[in-house]
Amino acid sequence: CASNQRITPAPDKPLSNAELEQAWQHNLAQARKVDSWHVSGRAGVKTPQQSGAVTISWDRSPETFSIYMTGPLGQTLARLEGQGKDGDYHRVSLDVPGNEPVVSGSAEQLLYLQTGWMLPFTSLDYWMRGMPAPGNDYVRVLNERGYLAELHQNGWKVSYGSYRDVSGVQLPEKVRATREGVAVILSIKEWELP
Amino acid sequence: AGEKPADASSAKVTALKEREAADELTRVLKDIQTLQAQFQQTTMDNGGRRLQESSGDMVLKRPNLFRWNVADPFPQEVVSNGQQVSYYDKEMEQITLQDLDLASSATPALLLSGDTAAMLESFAVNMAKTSGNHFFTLLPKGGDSPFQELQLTFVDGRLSNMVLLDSLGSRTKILFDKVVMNEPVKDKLFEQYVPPGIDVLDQRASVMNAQKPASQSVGKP
Repeated sequence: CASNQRITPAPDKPLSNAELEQAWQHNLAQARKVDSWHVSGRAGVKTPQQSGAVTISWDRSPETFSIYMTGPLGQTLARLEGQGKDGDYHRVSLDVPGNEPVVSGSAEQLLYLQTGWMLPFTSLDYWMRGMPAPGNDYVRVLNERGYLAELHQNGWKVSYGSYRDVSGVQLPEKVRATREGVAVILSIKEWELP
Repeated sequence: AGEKPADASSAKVTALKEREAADELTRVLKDIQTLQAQFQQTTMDNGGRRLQESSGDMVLKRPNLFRWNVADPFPQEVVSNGQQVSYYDKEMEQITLQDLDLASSATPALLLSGDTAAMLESFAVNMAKTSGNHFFTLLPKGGDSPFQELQLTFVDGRLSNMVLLDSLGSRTKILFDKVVMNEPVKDKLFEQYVPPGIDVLDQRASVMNAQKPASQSVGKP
């Protein structure tokens, strides 16, 4: 499986703007190649009224995704699955043990039904790879090595913690998206690329 | 009833066996006044893929008092004082409070420390017994249970492992080690200390209904 050791500290002399832009274009191209993975980690949502955190096991390919959410003692709390093409999932289902599965055309709508919050699932699918979601303009702040430190898109502020080398690609370990008092936190313990 | 005699007697036999199994399970669980152990938990999906693994230690005291310290990979504490369950997520720096009877994600702890009679209302019990080992299988009576099957295994009267098979087909197995039974435990263990700067999110029905602002962050600057 993929090697997960920490990346080395920043280069000694800071990159010029041109070098930084070049590094960013390279890093973006690398991230775009990542379209299938297994991720395990923690996902949390914090709002003034309610919040929760679950352990996640996220399997993703351009045609399907399956996210198991498990509780502190290991019980499966819910499973979110999607089918589609090129990462555009037009059939999404939510299974909660003991309940009938709920099917919808979008993960956002399903998660809203279940949690009451508008969660940027489709964007998160890109943000977690250290890149903006396609189709909408964004404002970006790069770190000293040309990776995203911060991103503003679709009304969300996305901030990035450290990155980790996974089979030669630098991928984020922690992503925090906030908008109007709602915080979505993704803390990735394990990236596995095919 | 139009039952043929053979069905009637076999039905009676299984009912007797179930009665015996339920009584035996009640006796075995009642013998556990307090229990301390280390645990290894593994959850797999219906395809056998590992979803989650964790380990830590736990202590419980009948009825309904328990503390489940998950050490890794994500440090958490699940504590019940008999009325409410608090979930302390150290990485997310937050504590969530839930009513005990709604604390569905603490089922393993509730099964061991809760009211057995109440549990037996919703589960039929089968038992296999070999020299000193008890193997209980609990099957939900209602149709809409989140579980397909629960298993409890005791070796030489000591809790050995527990399996929860849920209606999605995912399987949680918890192995218990270094089990100490019926030693006195301090009640303070079943209180949740709230460190400074940690958000406390009270999701208990009493609070939610009173529409009081639910989040009281303690010691926040």
